[in-house]
Amino acid sequence: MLGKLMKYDMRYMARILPWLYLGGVFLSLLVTGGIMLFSNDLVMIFGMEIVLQVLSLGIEAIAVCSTIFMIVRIYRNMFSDEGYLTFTLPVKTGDIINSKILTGAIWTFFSYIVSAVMAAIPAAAVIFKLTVSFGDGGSSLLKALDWIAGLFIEVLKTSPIKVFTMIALFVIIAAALMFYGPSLYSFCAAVTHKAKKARAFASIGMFIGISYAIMFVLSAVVIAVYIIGITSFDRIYGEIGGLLPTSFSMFGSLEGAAAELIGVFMDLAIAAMLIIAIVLSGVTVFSWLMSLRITKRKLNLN
Amino acid sequence: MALIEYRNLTKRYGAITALAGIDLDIPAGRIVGLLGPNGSGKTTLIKLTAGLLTPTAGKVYINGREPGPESKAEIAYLPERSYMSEWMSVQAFVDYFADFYRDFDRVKATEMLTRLGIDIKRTLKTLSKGTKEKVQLVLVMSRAAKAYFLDEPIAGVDPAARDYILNTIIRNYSENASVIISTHLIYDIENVLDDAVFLKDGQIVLADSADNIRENTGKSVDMLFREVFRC
Repeated sequence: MLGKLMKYDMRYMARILPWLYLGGVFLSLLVTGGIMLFSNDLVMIFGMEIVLQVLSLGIEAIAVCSTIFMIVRIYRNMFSDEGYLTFTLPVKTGDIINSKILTGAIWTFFSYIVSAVMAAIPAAAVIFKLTVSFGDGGSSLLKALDWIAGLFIEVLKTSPIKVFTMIALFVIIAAALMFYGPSLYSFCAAVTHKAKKARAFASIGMFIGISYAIMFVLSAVVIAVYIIGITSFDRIYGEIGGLLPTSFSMFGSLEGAAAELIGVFMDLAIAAMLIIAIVLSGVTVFSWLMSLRITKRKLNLN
Repeated sequence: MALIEYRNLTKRYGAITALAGIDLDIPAGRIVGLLGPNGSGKTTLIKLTAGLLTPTAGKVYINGREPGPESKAEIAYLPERSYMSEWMSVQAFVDYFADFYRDFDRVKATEMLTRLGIDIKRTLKTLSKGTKEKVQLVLVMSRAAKAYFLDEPIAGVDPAARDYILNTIIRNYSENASVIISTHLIYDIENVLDDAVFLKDGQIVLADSADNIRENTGKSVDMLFREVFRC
Protein backbone atom coordinates (compact mmCIF):
# COMPACT_ATOMS: atom_id res chain seq x y z
CA MET A 1 0.00 0.00 0.00
CA LEU A 2 2.95 2.34 0.55
CA GLY A 3 3.62 2.26 -3.19
CA LYS A 4 0.02 3.21 -3.98
CA LEU A 5 0.07 6.07 -1.50
CA MET A 6 3.35 7.31 -2.93
CA LYS A 7 1.93 7.14 -6.45
CA TYR A 8 -0.73 9.71 -5.53
CA ASP A 9 1.63 11.86 -3.45
CA MET A 10 4.16 11.92 -6.31
CA ARG A 11 1.40 12.74 -8.76
CA TYR A 12 0.34 15.75 -6.67
CA MET A 13 3.86 17.14 -6.54
CA ALA A 14 4.39 16.35 -10.23
CA ARG A 15 1.61 18.77 -11.16
CA ILE A 16 3.78 21.82 -10.61
CA LEU A 17 7.36 21.09 -9.54
CA PRO A 18 8.66 19.80 -12.92
CA TRP A 19 7.47 23.07 -14.49
CA LEU A 20 9.25 24.99 -11.76
CA TYR A 21 12.42 23.01 -12.45
CA LEU A 22 12.13 23.67 -16.18
CA GLY A 23 11.67 27.36 -15.40
CA GLY A 24 14.82 27.29 -13.27
CA VAL A 25 16.88 25.68 -16.01
CA PHE A 26 15.45 28.14 -18.54
CA LEU A 27 16.44 31.05 -16.29
CA SER A 28 19.90 29.56 -15.98
CA LEU A 29 20.17 29.36 -19.78
CA LEU A 30 19.06 32.99 -20.07
CA VAL A 31 21.76 34.10 -17.64
CA THR A 32 24.28 31.99 -19.52
CA GLY A 33 23.24 33.65 -22.77
CA GLY A 34 23.81 37.00 -21.13
CA ILE A 35 27.27 35.96 -19.97
CA MET A 36 28.21 34.86 -23.48
CA LEU A 37 27.16 38.27 -24.83
CA PHE A 38 29.23 40.24 -22.29
CA SER A 39 32.61 41.62 -23.24
CA ASN A 40 35.51 39.77 -21.65
CA ASP A 41 36.23 42.48 -19.08
CA LEU A 42 32.66 42.51 -17.93
CA VAL A 43 32.71 38.74 -17.67
CA MET A 44 35.84 38.93 -15.53
CA ILE A 45 34.16 41.36 -13.13
CA PHE A 46 30.56 40.26 -13.08
CA GLY A 47 30.58 36.71 -14.41
CA MET A 48 31.33 34.89 -11.20
CA GLU A 49 29.05 37.20 -9.25
CA ILE A 50 26.18 36.33 -11.57
CA VAL A 51 26.95 32.62 -11.27
CA LEU A 52 26.90 32.86 -7.50
CA GLN A 53 23.69 34.87 -7.52
CA VAL A 54 21.98 32.41 -9.85
CA LEU A 55 23.23 29.54 -7.76
CA SER A 56 21.99 30.95 -4.48
CA LEU A 57 18.71 32.37 -5.81
CA GLY A 58 18.00 29.24 -7.81
CA ILE A 59 18.66 26.91 -4.92
CA GLU A 60 16.63 29.07 -2.57
CA ALA A 61 13.69 29.37 -4.97
CA ILE A 62 13.65 25.66 -5.78
CA ALA A 63 14.07 24.65 -2.14
CA VAL A 64 11.41 27.08 -0.90
CA CYS A 65 8.89 26.11 -3.59
CA SER A 66 9.49 22.39 -3.08
CA THR A 67 9.03 22.84 0.66
CA ILE A 68 5.82 24.85 0.18
CA PHE A 69 4.30 22.18 -2.08
CA MET A 70 5.37 19.46 0.32
CA ILE A 71 3.80 21.33 3.24
CA VAL A 72 0.56 21.91 1.34
CA ARG A 73 0.37 18.24 0.39
CA ILE A 74 1.06 16.96 3.91
CA TYR A 75 -1.36 19.37 5.58
CA ARG A 76 -4.21 19.08 3.10
CA ASN A 77 -4.00 15.34 2.58
CA MET A 78 -3.77 14.47 6.25
CA PHE A 79 -5.20 17.23 8.40
CA SER A 80 -7.76 19.13 6.30
CA ASP A 81 -11.05 17.62 5.06
CA GLU A 82 -9.06 15.33 2.74
CA GLY A 83 -7.80 13.61 5.88
CA TYR A 84 -11.28 12.09 6.25
CA LEU A 85 -10.51 10.00 3.19
CA THR A 86 -6.79 9.50 3.81
CA PHE A 87 -7.20 8.18 7.34
CA THR A 88 -10.11 5.90 6.41
CA LEU A 89 -8.12 4.13 3.71
CA PRO A 90 -7.34 0.53 4.62
CA VAL A 91 -3.65 1.27 5.09
CA LYS A 92 -1.36 1.51 8.09
CA THR A 93 -1.09 5.00 9.54
CA GLY A 94 2.68 4.63 9.35
CA ASP A 95 2.45 4.11 5.59
CA ILE A 96 0.57 7.40 5.21
CA ILE A 97 3.31 9.31 7.07
CA ASN A 98 6.13 7.39 5.39
CA SER A 99 4.67 8.05 1.96
CA LYS A 100 4.62 11.80 2.59
CA ILE A 101 8.18 11.80 3.97
CA LEU A 102 9.61 9.63 1.19
CA THR A 103 7.86 11.65 -1.50
CA GLY A 104 9.12 14.89 0.02
CA ALA A 105 12.65 13.45 0.18
CA ILE A 106 12.53 12.33 -3.46
CA TRP A 107 11.43 15.78 -4.65
CA THR A 108 14.09 17.42 -2.48
CA PHE A 109 16.65 15.19 -4.21
CA PHE A 110 15.30 16.32 -7.59
CA SER A 111 15.68 19.89 -6.34
CA TYR A 112 19.36 19.23 -5.55
CA ILE A 113 19.96 17.97 -9.07
CA VAL A 114 18.13 20.87 -10.70
CA SER A 115 19.98 23.38 -8.51
CA ALA A 116 23.30 21.79 -9.47
CA VAL A 117 22.39 21.93 -13.17
CA MET A 118 21.29 25.56 -12.82
CA ALA A 119 24.63 26.46 -11.29
CA ALA A 120 26.71 24.31 -13.61
CA ILE A 121 25.40 25.84 -16.87
CA PRO A 122 26.53 29.46 -16.24
CA ALA A 123 29.65 28.26 -14.39
CA ALA A 124 30.71 26.31 -17.47
CA ALA A 125 30.04 29.38 -19.61
CA VAL A 126 32.17 31.58 -17.36
CA ILE A 127 35.06 29.09 -17.40
CA PHE A 128 34.82 28.92 -21.18
CA LYS A 129 34.87 32.71 -21.50
CA LEU A 130 37.73 33.05 -19.04
CA THR A 131 39.73 30.49 -20.99
CA VAL A 132 39.15 32.40 -24.22
CA SER A 133 39.93 35.74 -22.53
CA PHE A 134 43.48 34.70 -21.66
CA GLY A 135 45.86 35.78 -24.37
CA ASP A 136 47.76 32.50 -24.15
CA GLY A 137 44.70 30.52 -25.29
CA GLY A 138 43.88 29.44 -21.77
CA SER A 139 47.10 27.63 -20.92
CA SER A 140 47.65 29.72 -17.75
CA LEU A 141 44.11 28.97 -16.61
CA LEU A 142 44.70 25.28 -17.21
CA LYS A 143 47.92 25.55 -15.20
CA ALA A 144 46.00 27.11 -12.33
CA LEU A 145 43.39 24.36 -12.51
CA ASP A 146 46.21 21.78 -12.58
CA TRP A 147 47.67 23.35 -9.46
CA ILE A 148 44.32 23.17 -7.65
CA ALA A 149 43.89 19.53 -8.73
CA GLY A 150 47.44 18.79 -7.53
CA LEU A 151 46.61 20.37 -4.22
CA PHE A 152 43.58 18.15 -3.77
CA ILE A 153 45.60 15.06 -4.67
CA GLU A 154 48.20 16.11 -2.11
CA VAL A 155 45.49 16.52 0.53
CA LEU A 156 44.01 13.15 -0.43
CA LYS A 157 47.44 11.50 -0.13
CA THR A 158 48.30 13.07 3.20
CA SER A 159 44.86 12.82 4.83
CA PRO A 160 42.76 10.16 3.06
CA ILE A 161 40.73 9.35 6.16
CA LYS A 162 39.81 13.00 6.65
CA VAL A 163 38.74 13.35 3.01
CA PHE A 164 36.56 10.26 3.10
CA THR A 165 35.13 11.28 6.47
CA MET A 166 34.17 14.63 5.00
CA ILE A 167 32.59 12.99 1.97
CA ALA A 168 30.66 10.59 4.21
CA LEU A 169 29.48 13.42 6.44
CA PHE A 170 28.48 15.46 3.39
CA VAL A 171 26.37 12.54 2.13
CA ILE A 172 24.78 12.09 5.57
CA ILE A 173 23.95 15.80 5.83
CA ALA A 174 22.51 15.87 2.29
CA ALA A 175 20.42 12.79 3.06
CA ALA A 176 19.28 14.22 6.39
CA LEU A 177 18.29 17.46 4.65
CA MET A 178 16.22 15.49 2.14
CA PHE A 179 14.16 13.95 4.95
CA TYR A 180 14.37 16.86 7.39
CA GLY A 181 11.64 19.08 5.83
CA PRO A 182 8.90 16.48 5.36
CA SER A 183 9.64 14.81 8.71
CA LEU A 184 9.68 18.04 10.71
CA TYR A 185 6.57 19.41 8.99
CA SER A 186 4.69 16.12 9.53
CA PHE A 187 5.56 16.41 13.20
CA CYS A 188 4.46 20.07 13.38
CA ALA A 189 1.20 19.34 11.56
CA ALA A 190 0.54 16.32 13.81
CA VAL A 191 1.18 18.37 16.97
CA THR A 192 -1.04 21.27 15.88
CA HIS A 193 -3.85 19.29 14.22
CA LYS A 194 -5.98 19.42 17.36
CA ALA A 195 -5.94 23.22 17.52
CA LYS A 196 -9.42 24.71 17.21
CA LYS A 197 -8.42 27.51 14.85
CA ALA A 198 -5.69 28.37 12.33
CA ARG A 199 -4.20 24.89 12.36
CA ALA A 200 -2.36 25.39 9.07
CA PHE A 201 -0.76 28.64 10.27
CA ALA A 202 0.13 27.07 13.60
CA SER A 203 1.87 24.16 11.91
CA ILE A 204 3.77 26.38 9.48
CA GLY A 205 4.73 28.78 12.28
CA MET A 206 6.02 25.90 14.37
CA PHE A 207 7.96 24.51 11.39
CA ILE A 208 9.61 27.86 10.63
CA GLY A 209 10.28 28.52 14.31
CA ILE A 210 11.97 25.16 14.91
CA SER A 211 13.94 25.44 11.65
CA TYR A 212 15.25 28.90 12.57
CA ALA A 213 16.09 27.76 16.09
CA ILE A 214 18.06 24.81 14.66
CA MET A 215 19.82 27.06 12.15
CA PHE A 216 20.69 29.53 14.91
CA VAL A 217 22.07 26.83 17.21
CA LEU A 218 24.02 25.15 14.39
CA SER A 219 25.49 28.46 13.22
CA ALA A 220 26.56 29.28 16.76
CA VAL A 221 28.14 25.86 17.20
CA VAL A 222 29.93 25.98 13.85
CA ILE A 223 31.27 29.49 14.56
CA ALA A 224 32.41 28.32 18.00
CA VAL A 225 34.23 25.35 16.46
CA TYR A 226 36.02 27.60 14.00
CA ILE A 227 36.96 30.15 16.65
CA ILE A 228 38.37 27.39 18.87
CA GLY A 229 40.19 25.84 15.90
CA ILE A 230 41.64 29.07 14.56
CA THR A 231 42.74 30.12 18.03
CA SER A 232 44.64 26.84 18.45
CA PHE A 233 46.09 27.18 14.96
CA ASP A 234 47.14 30.73 15.68
CA ARG A 235 48.78 29.70 18.93
CA ILE A 236 50.87 27.02 17.24
CA TYR A 237 52.01 28.87 14.16
CA GLY A 238 51.96 32.50 15.26
CA GLU A 239 50.05 35.31 13.59
CA ILE A 240 47.82 33.84 10.90
CA GLY A 241 48.46 36.76 8.57
CA GLY A 242 52.16 35.91 8.41
CA LEU A 243 51.72 32.20 8.38
CA LEU A 244 52.22 31.18 4.79
CA PRO A 245 55.35 33.19 3.92
CA THR A 246 57.18 32.21 7.12
CA SER A 247 56.15 28.61 7.10
CA PHE A 248 56.93 27.48 3.55
CA SER A 249 60.38 26.27 4.55
CA MET A 250 58.86 24.00 7.19
CA PHE A 251 56.86 22.14 4.56
CA GLY A 252 59.31 22.19 1.70
CA SER A 253 56.80 23.35 -0.96
CA LEU A 254 53.85 25.62 -1.56
CA GLU A 255 51.56 22.60 -2.07
CA GLY A 256 52.83 21.06 1.17
CA ALA A 257 52.13 24.26 3.15
CA ALA A 258 48.71 24.65 1.57
CA ALA A 259 47.92 20.97 2.16
CA GLU A 260 48.92 21.28 5.81
CA LEU A 261 46.79 24.40 6.14
CA ILE A 262 43.86 22.67 4.47
CA GLY A 263 44.41 19.64 6.71
CA VAL A 264 43.92 21.79 9.81
CA PHE A 265 40.80 23.39 8.39
CA MET A 266 39.52 19.94 7.46
CA ASP A 267 39.67 18.97 11.10
CA LEU A 268 37.50 21.95 11.89
CA ALA A 269 35.16 21.18 9.00
CA ILE A 270 34.81 17.57 10.14
CA ALA A 271 33.96 18.70 13.66
CA ALA A 272 31.38 21.18 12.36
CA MET A 273 29.90 18.71 9.87
CA LEU A 274 29.68 16.03 12.52
CA ILE A 275 27.66 18.35 14.75
CA ILE A 276 25.40 19.37 11.84
CA ALA A 277 24.89 15.72 10.82
CA ILE A 278 24.03 14.65 14.36
CA VAL A 279 21.59 17.54 14.95
CA LEU A 280 19.84 17.24 11.57
CA SER A 281 19.61 13.44 11.72
CA GLY A 282 18.43 13.61 15.32
CA VAL A 283 15.72 16.17 14.58
CA THR A 284 14.63 14.24 11.47
CA VAL A 285 14.38 10.87 13.22
CA PHE A 286 12.69 12.37 16.30
CA SER A 287 10.14 14.22 14.12
CA TRP A 288 9.41 11.11 12.10
CA LEU A 289 8.90 8.92 15.18
CA MET A 290 6.75 11.51 16.94
CA SER A 291 4.54 12.12 13.90
CA LEU A 292 4.00 8.35 13.67
CA ARG A 293 3.16 8.15 17.36
CA ILE A 294 0.73 11.07 17.33
CA THR A 295 -1.17 9.97 14.22
CA LYS A 296 -1.32 6.36 15.39
CA ARG A 297 -2.37 6.96 18.96
CA LYS A 298 -3.78 10.44 19.27
CA LEU A 299 -5.44 11.24 15.95
CA ASN A 300 -8.39 13.61 16.39
CA LEU A 301 -9.58 15.06 13.09
CA ASN A 302 -11.98 17.88 13.77
CA MET B 1 -21.43 -11.47 17.68
CA ALA B 2 -22.57 -7.99 16.67
CA LEU B 3 -20.95 -6.43 13.64
CA ILE B 4 -20.22 -3.20 15.49
CA GLU B 5 -19.75 -3.08 19.26
CA TYR B 6 -19.30 -0.03 21.44
CA ARG B 7 -18.13 -0.62 24.98
CA ASN B 8 -18.18 2.25 27.48
CA LEU B 9 -17.15 4.52 24.63
CA THR B 10 -16.28 7.98 25.89
CA LYS B 11 -14.97 11.01 24.05
CA ARG B 12 -14.14 14.32 25.66
CA TYR B 13 -12.91 17.49 24.00
CA GLY B 14 -11.31 19.29 26.91
CA ALA B 15 -14.10 19.98 29.39
CA ILE B 16 -16.82 19.02 26.91
CA THR B 17 -18.06 15.45 26.91
CA ALA B 18 -19.17 14.49 23.42
CA LEU B 19 -19.90 10.85 24.24
CA ALA B 20 -20.38 9.53 27.75
CA GLY B 21 -19.89 5.79 28.09
CA ILE B 22 -21.79 4.46 25.09
CA ASP B 23 -22.65 0.75 25.09
CA LEU B 24 -24.28 -0.43 21.90
CA ASP B 25 -24.33 -3.41 19.55
CA ILE B 26 -25.19 -3.08 15.87
CA PRO B 27 -25.94 -6.41 14.21
CA ALA B 28 -25.29 -7.20 10.56
CA GLY B 29 -27.97 -6.63 7.93
CA ARG B 30 -29.76 -3.72 9.63
CA ILE B 31 -30.42 -0.15 8.62
CA VAL B 32 -29.89 1.91 11.74
CA GLY B 33 -30.81 5.53 12.22
CA LEU B 34 -28.46 7.39 14.49
CA LEU B 35 -30.80 10.14 15.51
CA GLY B 36 -30.27 13.22 17.58
CA PRO B 37 -30.08 16.99 17.42
CA ASN B 38 -26.92 18.89 16.52
CA GLY B 39 -24.19 18.34 19.09
CA SER B 40 -25.67 15.10 20.41
CA GLY B 41 -22.58 13.05 19.50
CA LYS B 42 -23.67 11.37 16.24
CA THR B 43 -20.69 12.52 14.18
CA THR B 44 -18.28 11.81 17.03
CA LEU B 45 -19.59 8.23 17.28
CA ILE B 46 -19.17 7.69 13.54
CA LYS B 47 -15.71 9.26 13.46
CA LEU B 48 -14.59 7.06 16.33
CA THR B 49 -15.81 4.04 14.37
CA ALA B 50 -14.01 5.22 11.24
CA GLY B 51 -10.77 5.68 13.19
CA LEU B 52 -10.63 9.46 12.72
CA LEU B 53 -10.82 10.10 16.45
CA THR B 54 -9.13 8.42 19.39
CA PRO B 55 -11.46 7.50 22.26
CA THR B 56 -10.84 9.06 25.64
CA ALA B 57 -12.01 5.77 27.18
CA GLY B 58 -13.75 2.61 26.08
CA LYS B 59 -13.51 0.60 22.89
CA VAL B 60 -15.01 0.22 19.43
CA TYR B 61 -14.97 -3.19 17.77
CA ILE B 62 -15.73 -3.71 14.11
CA ASN B 63 -16.20 -7.38 13.36
CA GLY B 64 -14.28 -8.04 16.58
CA ARG B 65 -11.37 -5.76 15.75
CA GLU B 66 -10.46 -2.29 16.91
CA PRO B 67 -10.29 0.38 14.17
CA GLY B 68 -7.31 -0.27 11.92
CA PRO B 69 -6.48 -1.16 8.31
CA GLU B 70 -8.53 -4.38 8.48
CA SER B 71 -11.64 -2.68 9.85
CA LYS B 72 -11.29 0.22 7.43
CA ALA B 73 -11.33 -2.28 4.57
CA GLU B 74 -14.77 -3.38 5.77
CA ILE B 75 -16.31 0.02 6.46
CA ALA B 76 -17.57 2.50 3.90
CA TYR B 77 -17.65 5.98 5.36
CA LEU B 78 -19.43 9.01 3.96
CA PRO B 79 -18.59 12.15 5.93
CA GLU B 80 -20.77 15.22 6.15
CA ARG B 81 -18.23 17.21 4.13
CA SER B 82 -16.38 16.75 0.85
CA TYR B 83 -13.16 14.83 1.41
CA MET B 84 -12.02 14.77 -2.19
CA SER B 85 -9.03 16.68 -3.58
CA GLU B 86 -10.24 19.45 -5.84
CA TRP B 87 -7.43 18.98 -8.38
CA MET B 88 -8.31 15.37 -9.14
CA SER B 89 -10.80 14.33 -11.80
CA VAL B 90 -13.80 12.13 -11.08
CA GLN B 91 -12.09 9.40 -13.11
CA ALA B 92 -8.98 9.74 -10.94
CA PHE B 93 -11.15 9.22 -7.87
CA VAL B 94 -12.71 6.11 -9.36
CA ASP B 95 -9.15 4.82 -9.92
CA TYR B 96 -8.20 5.88 -6.40
CA PHE B 97 -11.04 3.92 -4.81
CA ALA B 98 -10.29 0.94 -7.06
CA ASP B 99 -6.64 1.10 -6.00
CA PHE B 100 -7.30 1.07 -2.27
CA TYR B 101 -10.58 -0.79 -1.76
CA ARG B 102 -10.77 -4.38 -2.91
CA ASP B 103 -14.55 -4.33 -2.55
CA PHE B 104 -14.94 -1.34 -4.88
CA ASP B 105 -16.95 -2.02 -8.03
CA ARG B 106 -15.53 0.24 -10.73
CA VAL B 107 -18.14 -0.72 -13.33
CA LYS B 108 -21.01 0.01 -10.96
CA ALA B 109 -19.52 3.39 -10.03
CA THR B 110 -18.96 4.39 -13.64
CA GLU B 111 -22.51 3.35 -14.58
CA MET B 112 -24.02 5.34 -11.72
CA LEU B 113 -21.95 8.41 -12.59
CA THR B 114 -22.95 8.11 -16.25
CA ARG B 115 -26.61 7.83 -15.28
CA LEU B 116 -26.23 11.03 -13.30
CA GLY B 117 -24.79 12.71 -16.38
CA ILE B 118 -21.48 13.47 -14.68
CA ASP B 119 -18.52 13.83 -17.01
CA ILE B 120 -15.87 11.73 -15.28
CA LYS B 121 -13.08 13.64 -16.99
CA ARG B 122 -13.95 16.82 -15.12
CA THR B 123 -11.96 17.83 -12.07
CA LEU B 124 -13.73 18.20 -8.74
CA LYS B 125 -13.16 21.95 -8.62
CA THR B 126 -15.34 22.38 -11.72
CA LEU B 127 -18.30 20.56 -10.16
CA SER B 128 -21.06 22.10 -8.07
CA LYS B 129 -21.33 21.27 -4.36
CA GLY B 130 -24.35 19.06 -4.98
CA THR B 131 -22.62 17.13 -7.76
CA LYS B 132 -19.54 16.60 -5.58
CA GLU B 133 -21.78 15.15 -2.87
CA LYS B 134 -23.34 12.81 -5.42
CA VAL B 135 -19.93 11.69 -6.68
CA GLN B 136 -18.84 10.99 -3.14
CA LEU B 137 -22.03 9.05 -2.43
CA VAL B 138 -21.66 7.01 -5.62
CA LEU B 139 -18.05 6.11 -4.74
CA VAL B 140 -18.96 5.05 -1.21
CA MET B 141 -22.03 3.06 -2.27
CA SER B 142 -20.07 1.29 -5.02
CA ARG B 143 -18.23 -0.62 -2.36
CA ALA B 144 -19.41 -4.01 -1.14
CA ALA B 145 -18.65 -3.08 2.46
CA LYS B 146 -19.84 -4.84 5.61
CA ALA B 147 -20.98 -1.58 7.17
CA TYR B 148 -21.81 1.82 5.70
CA PHE B 149 -21.52 4.82 7.98
CA LEU B 150 -23.29 7.76 6.40
CA ASP B 151 -23.00 11.01 8.30
CA GLU B 152 -25.85 13.43 7.55
CA PRO B 153 -26.19 12.30 3.92
CA ILE B 154 -29.42 14.21 3.34
CA ALA B 155 -28.69 17.39 5.27
CA GLY B 156 -28.77 20.61 3.29
CA VAL B 157 -30.05 19.14 0.01
CA ASP B 158 -33.30 19.72 -1.83
CA PRO B 159 -36.12 17.11 -1.62
CA ALA B 160 -35.37 15.73 -5.09
CA ALA B 161 -31.73 15.21 -4.26
CA ARG B 162 -32.79 13.73 -0.92
CA ASP B 163 -34.86 11.11 -2.75
CA TYR B 164 -31.98 10.33 -5.07
CA ILE B 165 -29.58 9.92 -2.16
CA LEU B 166 -31.90 7.65 -0.18
CA ASN B 167 -32.71 5.55 -3.23
CA THR B 168 -29.02 5.21 -4.03
CA ILE B 169 -28.33 4.03 -0.50
CA ILE B 170 -31.19 1.56 -0.40
CA ARG B 171 -30.52 0.10 -3.84
CA ASN B 172 -26.80 -0.22 -3.55
CA TYR B 173 -25.79 -1.38 -0.09
CA SER B 174 -24.56 -4.92 -0.13
CA GLU B 175 -26.64 -7.74 1.24
CA ASN B 176 -26.06 -8.55 4.92
CA ALA B 177 -24.33 -5.23 5.41
CA SER B 178 -25.37 -2.73 8.03
CA VAL B 179 -26.15 0.84 7.13
CA ILE B 180 -25.81 3.44 9.86
CA ILE B 181 -27.33 6.78 8.90
CA SER B 182 -26.90 9.76 11.16
CA THR B 183 -29.49 12.49 10.72
CA HIS B 184 -31.96 14.74 12.43
CA LEU B 185 -34.30 14.63 9.42
CA ILE B 186 -36.19 11.59 10.67
CA TYR B 187 -39.30 11.98 8.56
CA ASP B 188 -37.38 11.40 5.34
CA ILE B 189 -35.71 8.19 6.41
CA GLU B 190 -38.19 6.64 8.84
CA ASN B 191 -39.61 4.28 6.25
CA VAL B 192 -36.27 2.66 5.54
CA LEU B 193 -35.08 2.27 9.14
CA ASP B 194 -34.92 -1.11 10.86
CA ASP B 195 -33.58 0.32 14.10
CA ALA B 196 -33.34 3.72 15.71
CA VAL B 197 -30.80 4.99 18.23
CA PHE B 198 -31.60 8.30 19.94
CA LEU B 199 -28.57 10.20 21.11
CA LYS B 200 -28.81 13.14 23.51
CA ASP B 201 -25.89 14.95 25.11
CA GLY B 202 -23.55 12.10 24.29
CA GLN B 203 -25.75 9.40 25.79
CA ILE B 204 -28.13 6.86 24.31
CA VAL B 205 -31.66 7.62 25.43
CA LEU B 206 -33.31 4.99 23.28
CA ALA B 207 -32.14 2.07 21.13
CA ASP B 208 -34.77 -0.19 19.67
CA SER B 209 -36.23 -1.43 16.41
CA ALA B 210 -38.43 1.03 14.56
CA ASP B 211 -41.31 -1.44 14.71
CA ASN B 212 -41.01 -1.79 18.49
CA ILE B 213 -40.92 1.96 18.92
CA ARG B 214 -44.09 2.39 16.91
CA GLU B 215 -45.78 -0.53 18.66
CA ASN B 216 -44.79 0.41 22.21
CA THR B 217 -45.35 4.15 21.99
CA GLY B 218 -48.08 4.33 19.39
CA LYS B 219 -46.09 7.05 17.67
CA SER B 220 -43.90 7.23 14.65
CA VAL B 221 -40.16 7.48 15.20
CA ASP B 222 -40.33 11.04 13.90
CA MET B 223 -43.06 12.01 16.35
CA LEU B 224 -41.24 10.41 19.25
CA PHE B 225 -38.05 12.18 18.23
CA ARG B 226 -39.84 15.54 18.28
CA GLU B 227 -41.17 14.74 21.74
CA VAL B 228 -37.88 13.59 23.20
CA PHE B 229 -35.87 16.44 21.76
CA ARG B 230 -38.41 19.23 22.17
CA CYS B 231 -36.66 22.51 22.98
